[in-house]
Amino acid sequence: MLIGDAAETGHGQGTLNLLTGKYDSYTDAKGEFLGERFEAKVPTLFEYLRRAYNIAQHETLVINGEDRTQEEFYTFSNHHLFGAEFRSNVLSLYRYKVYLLEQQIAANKLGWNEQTLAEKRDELQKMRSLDYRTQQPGQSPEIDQFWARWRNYYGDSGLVNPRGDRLLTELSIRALQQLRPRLMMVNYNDCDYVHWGNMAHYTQGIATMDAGIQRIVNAVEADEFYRGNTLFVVAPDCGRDTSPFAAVPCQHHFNSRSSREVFALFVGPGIDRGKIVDRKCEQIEVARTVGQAMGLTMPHAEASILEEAFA
Amino acid sequence: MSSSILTPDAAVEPLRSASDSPTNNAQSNDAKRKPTSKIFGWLAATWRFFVGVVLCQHLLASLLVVGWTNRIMRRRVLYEWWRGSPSRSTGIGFPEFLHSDSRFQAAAALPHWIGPEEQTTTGWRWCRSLVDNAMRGIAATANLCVIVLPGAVLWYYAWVLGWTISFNKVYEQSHLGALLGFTGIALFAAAMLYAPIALARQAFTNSPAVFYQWKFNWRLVRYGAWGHARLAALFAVLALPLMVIKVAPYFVGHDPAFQEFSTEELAAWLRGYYFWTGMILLPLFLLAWRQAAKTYARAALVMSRLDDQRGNSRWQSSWHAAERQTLHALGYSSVTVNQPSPVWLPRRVAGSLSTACGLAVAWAAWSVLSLQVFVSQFFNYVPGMGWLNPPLVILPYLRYLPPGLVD
Repeated sequence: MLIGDAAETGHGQGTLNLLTGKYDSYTDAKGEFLGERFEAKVPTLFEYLRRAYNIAQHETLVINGEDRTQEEFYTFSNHHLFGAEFRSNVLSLYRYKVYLLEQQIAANKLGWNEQTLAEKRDELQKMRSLDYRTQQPGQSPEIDQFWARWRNYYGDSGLVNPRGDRLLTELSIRALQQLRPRLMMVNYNDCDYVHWGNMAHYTQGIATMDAGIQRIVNAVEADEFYRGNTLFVVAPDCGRDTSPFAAVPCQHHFNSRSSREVFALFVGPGIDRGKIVDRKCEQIEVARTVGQAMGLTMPHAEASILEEAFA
Repeated sequence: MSSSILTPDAAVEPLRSASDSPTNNAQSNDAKRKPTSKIFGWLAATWRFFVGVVLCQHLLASLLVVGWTNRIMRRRVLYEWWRGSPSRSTGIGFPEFLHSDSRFQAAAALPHWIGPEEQTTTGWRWCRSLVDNAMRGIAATANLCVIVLPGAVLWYYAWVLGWTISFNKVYEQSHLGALLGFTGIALFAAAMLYAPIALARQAFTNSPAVFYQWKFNWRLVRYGAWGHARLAALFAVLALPLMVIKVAPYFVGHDPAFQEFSTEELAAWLRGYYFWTGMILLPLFLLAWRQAAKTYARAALVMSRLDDQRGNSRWQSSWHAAERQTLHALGYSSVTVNQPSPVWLPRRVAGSLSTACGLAVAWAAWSVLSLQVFVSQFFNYVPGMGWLNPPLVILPYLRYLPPGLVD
């Protein structure tokens, strides 16, 4: 599976390829150097799904890492027929921090004086302003309830809950139990901390991700609501360099051939078990294939469907 | 009253002009007769250069290159001192000066790698250059490591710590990585304010102990502050091609043609790459350290003259015997004044300001050099040596074979 030459081999671009089914050229919405605050021009899978089946916001989820805030906002496109009205919700440490600060300011049990309160309000405003495309701050009430339970269990310190990809797994499993999502995207990224450093982070990150997927699969299998009707798709947003002359050939921003070489793993009902599709295909086909599995028509996607994936 | 700082501690007579000295005359004529053809000279120099490039391909062998460079630095110091000396004005040429004293004769030609420069040497001394190169290389590298490595180790640790913090999401401690990194850069730059002059002095005197004459060496640095700034800037500029050489294999490796190569072929290609780029590395290394020698030589002259003029004898005993005797032989100690002249206060303040500015510029340039290490590591990460050995500074060794291509 390849990422087309028209696309950059970055995480943001790859994620949007997987969500929209179309390669596009993206620039940072605020014009920041190396910024990845992109805005999709065509609808995402979340929007198609919500519009087609009238699904609630909190039933379409992005589980995001704490240091990828730019990807918090790939929840809807700028398309005039879709957009914010059909956006998905996000679970991440950033969102929890926003929720927590809102609650702390409202209750003021910490006894903040006026000056501190004003500072905290400014801080909250700054955090909210990252989500500049939506008029109403905050997410669904169900998400607030989710965070209330999270807070009750893990507290306010942020030092009790897991971090990194283990956090994403924890959020995913709790979301499956409490929010019953119909479409959920988990943005694992521990294995990305290898670019210019310790090669062991790569394999360690993969092991963490592998264990996380196993937990999620087990949780799905144990839940009657999901058992037998859930499709898992594992797909990287980009590949890695393979320069034989480098000790740590793990970058991907230079659009090398190997950074365009990716894969996709489909597991679930209706998918041929153990089948390998050994032909050149495009990363954006993942979006159309997932859409096909959910019975969606995606008129703005430019990819074809991976027909071989289905039994 | 007459004062002289550079009082010779041995009976070293100032040089007279060649025509006044039958011995020197004979040696000079001999020197004129002896040099074989220019072609032979060029061939010999090319051969020595080629050997140097080969030695740069191995970490331990590159110690010999450091020692060899050390001896070239000594020659450069002698040249600088001769160039501005009273002896020169009396008609004594540089070759004559070198042949005037057995201690300088070896510096008359490009240092050898193995055998002695003098053809008459017998016994174990057949490998005197090899021993000299090795001893000087080890001493110079050891002293440089003492002062430069703390900063380099710190930035290496900062990098690893930074990634570990990111990987484990301990972002509450994320400032530690940046803080240690900047501290490492500051330490490295501070060390490099001192090290080149101290090492050039060590090269000239062949005494590792002079490297640790902190106050005296720092005084030399201050007296040549702007020269030092130029030196640091030169290092920073010369490091640029080396950065490109280090980074290039990462990108070149993406060429699809390499997919057809076996591991052995890839390793051979990379070895060849580093061998040919060694032909760039070695001249840059020589150029940089030759300039360090020049900076030291000029600073030493300025300092000795000023001390002499001011009648400041406080530092007299700090000069190494080799320095004293050489300067005396070149006639510098004959610079005398009747009375120490008072220094006008505003001029003194302006001088201090100028020195401070020169050192600040030098410090900034050394910081730029250390930033280049970060940039090159960013594009082509080399664990260990990539951090600890800036090839222009410590060992002229720029050869990184990734683990997959070794063995």
